[in-house]
Amino acid sequence: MEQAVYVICTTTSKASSTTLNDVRECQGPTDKESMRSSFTNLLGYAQTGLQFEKVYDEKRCHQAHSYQRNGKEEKIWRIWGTGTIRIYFIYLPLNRIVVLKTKPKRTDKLSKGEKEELETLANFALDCLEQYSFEDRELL
Amino acid sequence: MNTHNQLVTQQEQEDIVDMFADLPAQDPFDIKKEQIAIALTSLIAFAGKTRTNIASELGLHKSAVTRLLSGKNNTKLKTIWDVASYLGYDFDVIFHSKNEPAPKQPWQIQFEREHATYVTRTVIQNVEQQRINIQIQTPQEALRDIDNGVAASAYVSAVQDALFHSTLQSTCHFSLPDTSSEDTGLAREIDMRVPGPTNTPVFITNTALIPLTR
Repeated sequence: MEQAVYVICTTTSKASSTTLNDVRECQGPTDKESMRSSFTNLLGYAQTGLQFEKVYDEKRCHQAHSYQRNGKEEKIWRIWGTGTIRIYFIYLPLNRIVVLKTKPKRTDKLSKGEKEELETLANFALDCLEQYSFEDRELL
Repeated sequence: MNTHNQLVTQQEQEDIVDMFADLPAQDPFDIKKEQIAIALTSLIAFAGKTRTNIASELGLHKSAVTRLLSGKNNTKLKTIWDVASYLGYDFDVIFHSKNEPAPKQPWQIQFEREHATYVTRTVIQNVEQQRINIQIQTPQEALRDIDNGVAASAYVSAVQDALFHSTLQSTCHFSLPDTSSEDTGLAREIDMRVPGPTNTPVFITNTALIPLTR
């Protein structure tokens, strides 16, 4: 069974997807081309159903950040996509991931602001999932 | 006339479709190269090997393996053969309509087997409370039912199985072990269809009942 890939929407409209916003904000044809290629690649691997750590090597898929949420450690993962594109996501049970942020990034280290943004997005997704069923919230 | 909701939906679809509208269309051959690289990478991972293993066993530099699995190169058939052979696999060139799903890969088949084992256990555990309706179908009929959303609860092939006393193919008459279907309290029914004896697309083993799915 393939991995289900979810993105975050801030309203009930798919157009409010933060990932769509990431694409819109991506400047320059090279970065945007890389972003498309990265998504193609990600979805291709998701279709295999294999864990990303197995199909991407450690350099390309690894833990980028962790933080405490309600006394529990939440891990945020990063895939080095094509070129400078980085895709940040969290794992959910049952072969599901939620894409938090996609952006071109030329340094490995996350700034404090970037960490806070990822934590906010992860909390938003996890809060929604605690309140609604997956079926109600499936976006892609 | 479009309603407001229809307009909103259209706008949403346009927003989705337009994600990369300002980029030139992707070359279908580039997509195919990417798919081949994903399949090779997945096979390596599924076989429990690493890129380093592949490099050392095939006498390649690690950077050559990285290029091979990048999906950017026109990979040689011989290279695919070398990797598959090293991992103990064979491959074929199987054509299919663009609208049809591609044949299943080993990792997909394994997942379905693992998933199906659970189904088998459920069937066996509840066998005394269930009546099984058997219907003989050709594989084509079975696939048609699946496509039409009227698939059976489970499918078995026409081969001998430990669950049944007789060979389904020869008589289509069988009884359940240690139970009489006449005497049991029949709480619910299982709709089970049996593909015909030729070209059976599913199979049964002593431990795994494989559901026929697309």
